[in-house]
Amino acid sequence: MITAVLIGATVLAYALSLAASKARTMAALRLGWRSLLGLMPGLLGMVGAVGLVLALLPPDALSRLFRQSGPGGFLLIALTGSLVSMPAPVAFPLAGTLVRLGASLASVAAFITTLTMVGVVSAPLEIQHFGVRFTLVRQSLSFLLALAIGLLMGVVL
Amino acid sequence: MIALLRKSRFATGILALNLLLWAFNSALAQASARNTASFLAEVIGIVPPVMLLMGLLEVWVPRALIEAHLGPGSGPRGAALAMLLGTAAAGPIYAAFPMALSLRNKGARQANIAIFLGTWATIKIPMLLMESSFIGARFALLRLAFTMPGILLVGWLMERLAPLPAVAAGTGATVRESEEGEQAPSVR
Repeated sequence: MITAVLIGATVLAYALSLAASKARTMAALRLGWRSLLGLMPGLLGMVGAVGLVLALLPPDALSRLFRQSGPGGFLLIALTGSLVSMPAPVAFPLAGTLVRLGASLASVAAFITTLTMVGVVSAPLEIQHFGVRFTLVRQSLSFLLALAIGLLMGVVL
Repeated sequence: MIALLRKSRFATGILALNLLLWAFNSALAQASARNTASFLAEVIGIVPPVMLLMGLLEVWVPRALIEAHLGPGSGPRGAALAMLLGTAAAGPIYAAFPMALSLRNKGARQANIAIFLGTWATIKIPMLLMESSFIGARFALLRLAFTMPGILLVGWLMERLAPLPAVAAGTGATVRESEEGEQAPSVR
């Protein structure tokens, strides 16, 4: 769905651009193509890493993890969310199942937040764009934010 | 060529790990290959359009516009706009990096870049709908309520803890001719 919308929007935007200026459209196309080529090696690495991590830590292993309780379990779950990366259509049904199985809402909130904001597997790509320092600080701050969100959710819900 | 090899070391490392895994546990290696293939199919539908859109953004959006609305003087309105741009986006966080770099090269403030990345990652309307239906609307809305100020705080802290080198006006790094195999948009 997202893909169809995205491709449709791109085609439409290029058609408009072409109507306005052929030279600029060609320049945009060249820039986009070159950036895509530059991104390829890092992107392929990330794709492979996601596949590998999901194979080593399949969803049913993850749900076992959620039976851990206490502060140690909470931290472990947040860390797992940083390591694993999965598409939203997989992540939310999984989170729903975990809640029904009795996982604490605090851990689930922390898990979703680290899952989306912190990405060990996408870190090499982020470094390629913004450097090591930016990446480390952003991911660490996001991790702390996820812990805080999880704890607050635990208190409120 | 050397540059390409150096940039591929992460991919090569993962490939080596998979081969090693194959030697010890071929079922796991097959699962890994299957996951990789299905994720690759998803990525191939998302990344090329995003990069092409970024090309248009580079060519058509004037630097002055980004600087005025997301730049150092843009204040809370800039932060709000960064958030709005992040929510409106489609696709996972790895698609956000090139966009964010492009905005930065056009003069966006670093806090706004971090806010854009954070929002893109975790606050999206389709995601909220999915979260509400699978876990509960109360859960989704509360998480949103805690996440929004958190992302603003992370943006503010990023500017202080990990300042990026300044981008001089007119050096939109993406537009620069780059060596073969070297990625075009690069701050360094």
